[in-house]
Amino acid sequence: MSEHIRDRIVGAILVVFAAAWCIVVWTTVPTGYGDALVGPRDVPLWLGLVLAALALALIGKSYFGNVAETAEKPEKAATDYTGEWRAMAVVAGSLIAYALLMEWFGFVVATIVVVIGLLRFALNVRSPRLILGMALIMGFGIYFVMGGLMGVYLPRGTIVSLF
Amino acid sequence: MEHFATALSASTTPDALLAMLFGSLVGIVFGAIPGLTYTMALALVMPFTFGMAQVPAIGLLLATYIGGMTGGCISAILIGIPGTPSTAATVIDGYPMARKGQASLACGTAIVASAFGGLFSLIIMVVSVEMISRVAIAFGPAEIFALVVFGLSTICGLSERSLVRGVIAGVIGLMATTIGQDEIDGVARLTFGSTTMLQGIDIVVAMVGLFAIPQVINTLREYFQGGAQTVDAQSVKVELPSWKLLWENFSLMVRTSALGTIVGVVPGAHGPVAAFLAYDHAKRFSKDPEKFGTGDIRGVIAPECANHAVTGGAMIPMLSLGFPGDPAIAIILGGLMIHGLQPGPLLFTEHPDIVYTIYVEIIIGYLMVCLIQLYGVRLFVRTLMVPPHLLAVGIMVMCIVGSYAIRNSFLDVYVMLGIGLLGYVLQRVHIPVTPIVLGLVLGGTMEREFRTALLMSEGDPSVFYTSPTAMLFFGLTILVFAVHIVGRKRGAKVRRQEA
Repeated sequence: MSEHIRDRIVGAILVVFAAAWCIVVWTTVPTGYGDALVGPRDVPLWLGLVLAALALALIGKSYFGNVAETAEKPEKAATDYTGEWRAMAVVAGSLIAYALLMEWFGFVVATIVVVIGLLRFALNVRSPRLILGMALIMGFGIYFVMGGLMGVYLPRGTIVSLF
Repeated sequence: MEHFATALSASTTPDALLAMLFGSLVGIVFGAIPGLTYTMALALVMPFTFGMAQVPAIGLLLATYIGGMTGGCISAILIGIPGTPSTAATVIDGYPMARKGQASLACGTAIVASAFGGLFSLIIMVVSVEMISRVAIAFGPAEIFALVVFGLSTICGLSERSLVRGVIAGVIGLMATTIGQDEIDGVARLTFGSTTMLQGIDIVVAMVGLFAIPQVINTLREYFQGGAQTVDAQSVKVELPSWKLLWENFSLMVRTSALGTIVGVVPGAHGPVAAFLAYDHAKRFSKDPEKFGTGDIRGVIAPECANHAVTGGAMIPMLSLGFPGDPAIAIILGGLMIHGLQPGPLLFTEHPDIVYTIYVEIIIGYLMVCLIQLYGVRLFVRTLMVPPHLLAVGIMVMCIVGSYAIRNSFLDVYVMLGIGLLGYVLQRVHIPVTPIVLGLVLGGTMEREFRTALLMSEGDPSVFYTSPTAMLFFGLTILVFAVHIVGRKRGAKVRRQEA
């Protein structure tokens, strides 16, 4: 995909987002109390309009812009998108699972389960010593250092509350 | 001189030094871990001061503050995730330096630059506390708004490929700050009925997402594609800044420290504003600006000097007028009041010994933090010996802990993840993420001061163009944008001719 086409797609998405933003702001944010010249609705609305204008400028630049400027850093051809999608899925999936597990079973259990899962199944680490060692050190180590010594509150589970 | 000698003797007692050592360590740890803030560290050490005498108690608070401010650069340089918002600008050149095997040089220089900035601002504070207090009072909402707009002009320097993309990113950051409860009218904005969302998007949560998640995805992508970086133990050598390097950049250190001190005086303008302004200044006035962003030591020195020079600047209104410039200073102010001290003009006449004690403890705090960190550099750089994919797992755990710990909210964890994925996508389409952070940092202050100025002037917009200070900042903003646009056009013309 050429840089110009990508800019048009990005610009179009941003225009749609800015339009949606402005509609939501207009319909859900009240104008405020009193007779202030600028109320709580105005600034987000203006910013939405500015974003739309900038997105249109990005699209316009892709048609009429300076070729030399855009060609300044040619993009490396991305040949393998599988690794990228896999990485995004692993990060998003594991963090969502981590947050849910932490809410249900508390910090220590969630950390141990997620670190073992990540190392063994996502990153294909074979060494049981490394997997268990890292999981236990991260789970209990962070719990004792941050929760115990530093006084940072770490969640206890709503279903199982061991730590 | 007598007060200084008394203060020096009181601040170097074993209990005062121990308290400061403890504060420095706690501050460094909280500053270095993304998601934990020095404000949090100050709140946690505050109860320890209840049973202490005045001098060790003040020392503990000041050392925690200084350690927290300084610790943020470690994670910014080593793993590309700023420990505090003030170190977001340090990532731009600090992390590329670490990737080039110059992690310890970057860390060491950042530590020395931090101490220089902090001590420079202290000297300014001692010499000109009364004069600078008058400047601080002269900044009303219109002037602060103008300063914040000027701060936004640094987007020019942060826009990697095109100004439009940089400004788009800045506007996205500004938009994000409008989510939550409106500070002036108290109405909910874009919260969709969620009470948790009333708090809005926390800057630290957003920053963790924007810097850490794309980093982790990139590391795992390289690992899955079989091109994961191998760790070269030789590249993780310990190399501290030489006197020659520091001398060559002495002028930059002085200029950016002065900039940081001035920004620190203004209420509402904190370390991140100073750091971004200083980075932009260093880049704009260098002979080879194209080197910035690729691992240039000046890109580390400038923001680190400026964001620490803010400490002295922020202390000036606190000591002389009794009003805090930021939440961390507010906690220190509270600590002083608990110990029977009322900051304000009378403090200088009634308790000059305490004022000098504060000066001396800031000096000791900076020296202590500097020595601890310079010694610790050998240990810090060992982080880079950990294989990147394993480090990525550790970063993911810390992302969750950091984003949750800010407000004990799981919503923040999901917000962090969402922002992180958005940041990754934006990076892939060449929209830089650093201006988003700038927008997030400045957005709240910009809207609040803009609307407050209009409320105070009963809707008269002339408040913005009748103030000479505000006009100066608006003029500078226009100048920066104009110079940037003209510079780009000339560059493009030269490239066309060469082609």
